[in-house]
Amino acid sequence: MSLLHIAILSPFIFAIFIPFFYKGFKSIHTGWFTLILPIVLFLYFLQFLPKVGGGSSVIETISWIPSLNIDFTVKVDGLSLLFALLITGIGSLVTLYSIYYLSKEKEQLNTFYVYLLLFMGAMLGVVLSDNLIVLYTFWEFTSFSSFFLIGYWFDREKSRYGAQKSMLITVFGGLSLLGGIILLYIMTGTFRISEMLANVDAIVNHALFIPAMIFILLGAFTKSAQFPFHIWLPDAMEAPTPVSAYLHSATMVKAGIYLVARVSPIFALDQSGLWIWLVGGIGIITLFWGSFNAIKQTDLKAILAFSTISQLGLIMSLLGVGAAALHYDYLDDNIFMVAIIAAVFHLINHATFKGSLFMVVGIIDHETGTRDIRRLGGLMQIMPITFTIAFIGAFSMAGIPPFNGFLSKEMFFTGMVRVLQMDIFHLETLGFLFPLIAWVASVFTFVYSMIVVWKTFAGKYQPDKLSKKAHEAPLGMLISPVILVSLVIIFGLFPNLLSDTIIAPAAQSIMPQFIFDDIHISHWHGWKSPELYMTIGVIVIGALLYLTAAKWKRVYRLFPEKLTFNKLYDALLPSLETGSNLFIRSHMTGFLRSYLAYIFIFFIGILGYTIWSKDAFTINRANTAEIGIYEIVLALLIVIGCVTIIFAKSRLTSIIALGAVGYTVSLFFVIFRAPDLALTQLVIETISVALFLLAFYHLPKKFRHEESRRFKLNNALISIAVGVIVALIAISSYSTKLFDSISKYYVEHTYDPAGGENMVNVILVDFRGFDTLFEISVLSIAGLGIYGLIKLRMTRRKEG
Amino acid sequence: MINLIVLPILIPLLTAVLLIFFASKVKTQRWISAISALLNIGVAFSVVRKVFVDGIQILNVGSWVAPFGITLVSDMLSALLVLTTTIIGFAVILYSFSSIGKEREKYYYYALVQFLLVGVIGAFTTGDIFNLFVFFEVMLMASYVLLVIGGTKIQLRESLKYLTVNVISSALFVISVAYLYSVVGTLNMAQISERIGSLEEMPGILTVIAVLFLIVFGMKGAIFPLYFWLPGSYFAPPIPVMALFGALLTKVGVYSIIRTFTLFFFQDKDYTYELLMILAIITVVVGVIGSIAYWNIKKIIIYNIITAIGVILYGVSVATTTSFTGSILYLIHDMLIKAALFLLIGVMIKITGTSNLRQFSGLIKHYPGLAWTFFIAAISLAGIPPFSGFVGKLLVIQGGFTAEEYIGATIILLSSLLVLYSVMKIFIHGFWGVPKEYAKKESISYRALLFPIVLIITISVLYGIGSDYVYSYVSQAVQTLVNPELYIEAVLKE
Amino acid sequence: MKSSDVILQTTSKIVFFVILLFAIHLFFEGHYRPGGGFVGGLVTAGAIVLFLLAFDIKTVSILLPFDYKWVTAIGLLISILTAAGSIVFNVPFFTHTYDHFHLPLIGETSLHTAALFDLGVYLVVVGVTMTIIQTIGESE
Repeated sequence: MSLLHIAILSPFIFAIFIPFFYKGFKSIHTGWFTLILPIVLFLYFLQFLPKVGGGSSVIETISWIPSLNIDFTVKVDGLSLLFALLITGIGSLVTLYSIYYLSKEKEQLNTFYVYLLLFMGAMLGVVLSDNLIVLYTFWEFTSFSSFFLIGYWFDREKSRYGAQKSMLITVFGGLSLLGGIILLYIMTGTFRISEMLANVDAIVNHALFIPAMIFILLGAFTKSAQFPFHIWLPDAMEAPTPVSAYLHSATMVKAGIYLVARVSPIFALDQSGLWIWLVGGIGIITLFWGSFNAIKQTDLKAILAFSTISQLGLIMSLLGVGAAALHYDYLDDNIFMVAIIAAVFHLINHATFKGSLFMVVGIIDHETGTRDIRRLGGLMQIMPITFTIAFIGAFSMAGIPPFNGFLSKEMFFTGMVRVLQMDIFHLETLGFLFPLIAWVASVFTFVYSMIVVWKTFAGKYQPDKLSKKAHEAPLGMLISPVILVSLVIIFGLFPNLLSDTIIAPAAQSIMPQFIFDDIHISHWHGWKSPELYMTIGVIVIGALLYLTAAKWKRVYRLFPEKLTFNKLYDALLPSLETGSNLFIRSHMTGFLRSYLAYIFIFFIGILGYTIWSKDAFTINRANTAEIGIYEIVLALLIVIGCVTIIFAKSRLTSIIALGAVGYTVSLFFVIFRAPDLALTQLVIETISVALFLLAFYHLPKKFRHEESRRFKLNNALISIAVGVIVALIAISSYSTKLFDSISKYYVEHTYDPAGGENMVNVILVDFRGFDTLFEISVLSIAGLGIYGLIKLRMTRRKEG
Repeated sequence: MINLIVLPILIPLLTAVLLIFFASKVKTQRWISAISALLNIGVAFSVVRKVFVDGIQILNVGSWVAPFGITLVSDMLSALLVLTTTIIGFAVILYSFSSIGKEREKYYYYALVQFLLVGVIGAFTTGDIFNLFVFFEVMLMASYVLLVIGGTKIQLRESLKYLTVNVISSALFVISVAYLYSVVGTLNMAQISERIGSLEEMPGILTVIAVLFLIVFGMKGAIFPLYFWLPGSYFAPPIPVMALFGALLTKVGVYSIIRTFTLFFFQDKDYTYELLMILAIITVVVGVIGSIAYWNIKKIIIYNIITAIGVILYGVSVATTTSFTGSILYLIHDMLIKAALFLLIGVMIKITGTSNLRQFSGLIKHYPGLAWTFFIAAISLAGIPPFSGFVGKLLVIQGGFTAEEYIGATIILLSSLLVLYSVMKIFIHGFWGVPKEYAKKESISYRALLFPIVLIITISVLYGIGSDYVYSYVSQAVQTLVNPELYIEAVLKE
Repeated sequence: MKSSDVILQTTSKIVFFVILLFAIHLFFEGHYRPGGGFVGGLVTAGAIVLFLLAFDIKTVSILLPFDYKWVTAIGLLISILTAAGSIVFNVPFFTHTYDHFHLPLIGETSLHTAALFDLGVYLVVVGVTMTIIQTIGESE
């Protein structure tokens, strides 16, 4: 076990101690204890920076299930390191922030930090595992820790709703991912990504390539809240705000992005264009839909949720479009590579500005008691530091210089505009949609960014609408967002701090076919660059739209609420439940006679069909003796007896007829010279008739219900058919004696060595005495059972 | 010790008889039951080890050489299932101490449990098709009595259905054995296999008999469309009995299908295995539908039995080494986890006095241990790694995909989601939410009830995490399934 | 089921013993001619049923004061132990042994462990049948 493994597992181990710390040190906020770990881990991962710089990677393995090729192999390369730093870095800041956000008196801090640590470990596992099954394991763990964090305030109906929704959608995606992994395994015989990469040709030309791609993309899209699976993310906002900042903005929702980036070296080679269209297309639709819907929200957190959806779409679309690079010459200055760089860069930037914005919203909620922009306003003077943070964060998000968001947004435009130069997979005709939608969505992004800042901080302060008297947040709560916005500015001014240290190695992992070095991110692309005018357009049109929002917001009413995917989800669960219930009730009547009818109809149908299709009916009369008069008479007696049982009007008659049938059978044994059987059958019949009479003595007089003719007719048909089938098989089996019976052995061995003269008895007590031993056990159980049944009558007490 | 493999049958049998004498002394009964069950785990474990080291173990009962006497055969499959059975038996017996109530205890409850174990373990161990029938009878008779004992109205009503259906299936079983005997002239399973294997082509009548066996065992195993009796009947008995039924009885049916289909009816696969596959897939679907249809926690878990049966049999129907391995891994997992789940909802019902999910909530506040145990059981059931259900399901699906049976494998993959939904519904609505006041009927010994559950869950977690260790055993079990020669060799050619 | 038919009662007393003797005969003949523990047990039970019909359940309980559940259990125990005896000698479970003896009065006879097993069967059959009859009879 290497240090890397310990790093991944350390949050899990740490989590075990949290409850003890919580119980043992009531006066210290549990967050302080927790905080140690992400900081240490962040520092630990920092030292990998120089190692992965040149595109190399570190691999460590411990075996888990070697027989199935499932080993806990971890690999640090540029991409996973970027994520590991995000997870531990943002993790540290969020933990620090949460110490002030969550009151140690009111909240169950032990569970909160246990979940948080579980998530942290799981997320590290996702990004560092090289073995896809291990990755999948951690993937599901992130879903479940997210489930618990969303449902942290589980006495709220909405929390439970949000938790269930996120779990169902992300676990659905997880299962789909698992399907994809299995298909990849079938194609390559390995679960390790690095070994799959070595075997790319075998995958690309395999028939299962496309199904595997779709399966994996479903996993990525659900996790990263891509359209139309985005619906779980807004409801996930029921989680405490530190959680929203951490899981549902900076890290977990980016697991889908990570996955797409991770498998890009395989699937981007897709020759059908499906990958580009799916990843790029779904990404760009999500970008648009998220930004468009963010504007109509009134809850600050909801705005940020839709914003996150939109930004995830942005990164996703870049990964899709960037894949096109592989379909052109593998030149180091391939113009389509920029999309990949933009994706990585924006991923980092998004974590910084969105993280700070979430923390701002948390502060506002904490200090004013609401997040509703209709009740907020005028907080600029009261909360100046918070305002400054919000201003920087939102302007970066809107893509305004000099913040980091501006830089990556420009690169995004560059990537999208270059789609126009692609001439494959119908991009030459429909490719224009990419820059167009990108631009429109950016306008909306600008609008909601303005809403976040100005609706909250400008305008009139309305203290009567707030449940608390607003004031600036405590210092501790401000530290984390201040650090994040500082990064927004630093990365905005000096983007090349990142370019070769983090961005290049990460991009390298996404597209190992190219060499990424000398990435230079510049603020100015000259007067001729279309990006410039796009940005100016965004600001101008965006500002106009923001100012006239009241007038055009009616447009949202054009989309009927009933047709949203959210409503679909809401309708799906109950209707699934009622549908299932109706289905079950339709046949689970609770009546034995229906169940028997189903079973026998199946019996008749399947056996009848088998006999017919296998031509199984044979009759061989070579070995049969002449049928004598006795046999005919006895058979007739049995038939008469059976008919009497069915049509008898009283129980007594039925019982006597049943006895008669039994006695007649024993006469058959006499004819066929089986005195033992005859004797036993006779005594059995006698005793059982006596028992029947004894039992019936206690039964009520009413004997049978009158049933409809139709019902009787159906039953008659079924029973006759069953009889016929059984007889057909009996005749055929008797006629198909393929081997000698083992019974001769018994004849030869009864006297010596078994030491008996009556073969039947020797079989019963010796050859097959084992059977007898358990048959008498059955008898004993029956005796005990009847005794208990009659003697023990418990009234209906509690269940269980 | 040549009699080793009969001991797991003999110990509960002797215990059962002994318990009859101590009917009125409840304390003594408990001690005897628990000690015997624990002892049997040890014995079953040593059988597993013995088989692992020395290969298939056989015992010719009464010194009559196979195929003429009755032969007991412990291959790895049966040894593992016997071991699992003894573990579940022990846990359920412990749970019963503070759950089943003195009245039932005095009316031979513990003896009946031991008899049930005799039947189940015997069925797993025997190498004789008629003897299998006899053990079925032991198991069924014990189950009839366990179902009805106590005599509440619902028990009486459901027992009648259960009894009727099973008496019919027993009759069909005996008829099927007779047909088979007529065609192949022997009852020894190894010899049946050898004789059928020596045929160049399987005659139609054997295919018919295969289908007949499928119907017989399918009724026990509750596959579509023969499962109708199960939801009602399993709903009626007290919880520990429900756990035994849910964990063991249907699995004996499944085991018998696996055994007969791999040992006897391995020819004409296109017909019989295809039929099995179709039924298995529909079984999964029907089980899932049932489990999401209800807000009654007992019903939810009961329908999940059916789903699992479908998954296991799907793997069997694919019939590759991978899918068999998956099925066996899943089978053992499911026995453990079903027992745990039934016992868990038993504790919930004890606390709240109801099995209606709409009538209680917020249990996690006062019973966090219960909640977390339930959660682990729930995600294990859904096959979330690294818990016990995962590797089995993985291999079943992988086997399905590899054999290009995409539809079934995809259905099973997605069924996990609805399985998860059905059990997490219990978690979300029963454990989360605002705690309610419940009419306390009696004080319950919460810890004593939870202990056996935690025991099973611990084993199941180890089973999942230690999959590699388990795999080495299971892969040995699968060898007999894919290569019946091994079984025949062990029994007939000494 | 109360009966006070004097003739029936008197006859049944005699017939009871005749049937019982027949049952014992069946039991011992089993290994060589039709019969055995199972049939023997059933016939014995039949004899007791006849007794029941003639008298009533209480009288029978006084005349034959056994706890039939114990009879069952003892029978089962005998059978199991007979079969398990072979474990002590480390031969396969259920291996019978027999030998011929010359006993005074009875003469040349063979003793077979199978007979011991069959005795268990006999007791179980009698025990179970009587448990059932007694339970149902008493539940009026």
